[in-house]
Amino acid sequence: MKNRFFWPLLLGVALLLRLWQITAALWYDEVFSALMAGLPLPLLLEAAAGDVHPPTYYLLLSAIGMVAGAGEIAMRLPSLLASMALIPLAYRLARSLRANTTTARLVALITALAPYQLYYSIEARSYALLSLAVGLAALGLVERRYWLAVAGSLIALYLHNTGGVFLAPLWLVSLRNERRYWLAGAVVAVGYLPGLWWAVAQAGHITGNYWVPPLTSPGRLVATLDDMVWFFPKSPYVFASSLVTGLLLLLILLDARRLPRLALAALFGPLLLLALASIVWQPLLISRVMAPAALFLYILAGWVINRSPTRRWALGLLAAPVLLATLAGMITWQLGRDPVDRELAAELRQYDGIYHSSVGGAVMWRYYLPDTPQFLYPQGDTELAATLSPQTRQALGLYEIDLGLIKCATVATPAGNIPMRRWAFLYFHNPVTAPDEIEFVASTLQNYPTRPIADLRHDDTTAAALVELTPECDHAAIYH
Amino acid sequence: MTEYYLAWLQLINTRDQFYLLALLLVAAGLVWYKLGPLHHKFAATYIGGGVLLVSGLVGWGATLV
Repeated sequence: MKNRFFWPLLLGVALLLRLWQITAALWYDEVFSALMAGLPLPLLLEAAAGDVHPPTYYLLLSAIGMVAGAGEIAMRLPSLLASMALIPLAYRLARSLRANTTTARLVALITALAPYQLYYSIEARSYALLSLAVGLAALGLVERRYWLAVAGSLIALYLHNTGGVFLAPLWLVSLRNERRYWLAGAVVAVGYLPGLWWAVAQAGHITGNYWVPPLTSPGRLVATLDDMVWFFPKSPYVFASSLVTGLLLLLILLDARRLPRLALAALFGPLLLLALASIVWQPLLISRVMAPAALFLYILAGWVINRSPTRRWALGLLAAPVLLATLAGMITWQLGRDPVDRELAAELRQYDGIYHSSVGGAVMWRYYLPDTPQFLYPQGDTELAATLSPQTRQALGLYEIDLGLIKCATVATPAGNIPMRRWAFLYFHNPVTAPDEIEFVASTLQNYPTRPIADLRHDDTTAAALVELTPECDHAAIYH
Repeated sequence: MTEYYLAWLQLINTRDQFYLLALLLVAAGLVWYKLGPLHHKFAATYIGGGVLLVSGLVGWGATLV
């Protein structure tokens, strides 16, 4: 394709695909970001300290929120911009690693169209920005622009506590006996000291984070690499996509000696480090954590695909239908994001108040229905319930109170006293739900007059429903 | 441990084994392609492409049901 058409076409298509779902309802993690961004600074820092990430990303969203509000588009804007910037960066990095123009364009093409990138391009979490920061650090190291390497590294380290896992292999493989290299490394090390202090303080909170599955099979490494291209948990093309990924992975391993060492180290280094940490310390390896290494997988993929015309044709013919089908699926199935929440909002507004059994539900609806009185079943500190620490729950303003105490209460709100006669009771059981919470839901459904309103999800790993709760009320306490 | 947690672990383990199997299948195909005589190379290519096509079609069919 002629030079002048390639970039406008590629960036245009990439932007369209990314904008497609940008107004979709936020999911739990994104709502958490948005709620954090809406907190006053001291509370934001307190809530972040009780969680597992540095506060930097929330501070950025907070600044955006002050200008543009906390809507879906505003909260997703940094990810969108970072994801778009990653495409030319992928090209430039591939070229700097001595890829020819065709290979570098192929790398840019994969970066632009990979479903994994599309997903994170509009997720209000730090992964797209983190990928860009690590990519910039890599470019700085390859091109000996050490100011860029320092800036990219520090941004990555302050965006996510796993930043070092991606940077260490990059810096080690770029090791040069140059004064500027050591000086730059020292600036990063000293600059990260406050962040390191923060990360070490947070490391204790990770205990009991059961939502990362324990690493039990080497198959997880292949599954993670597959996710880093195709990411689409509900894809029916998973068999076809896994065969394409398997082929790419084997070609990368077979060609390893000809491939740029930096890209190999930046992909397999973090993968093996996270796998090792998952075995000896805590489960850490999930596909989203590997986001910053995806760029290097695309560089290696571009390299092995473009090695001969046969490979270009074979892999192009094999991968193109899977890609097109997956993209079509992502567009029609809303990227795996659940669209039900907005429809539910209208339903939930009709109730005097909402009682949540789960933190997830409480966080979601605090964002979407900020004016409705909402309460949460007291979570305690059992291991499986450690999705949010008590400190973070308190800073976010989630009111944990026993249903028995407030079921017939009148709640004093700025809008006046609201008698809580009609409750919406929302429960959401998932793999990290504590057994006592499941028991509480079962007993509530048994002990109060209830009317099922909507079965939200129901399969082997989740059960969620909205139930109307109308307790018999003889008295009316006032709850402030 | 809740039933949801155990079902989730089972799902993830199955997925991991599936990916391992896919990788081994591709590796076997690649060895066959590399070491086999010329007409086997054609066979390996067609069978590999066929498997992909069929699995893609089955996946697509699954969305229609």
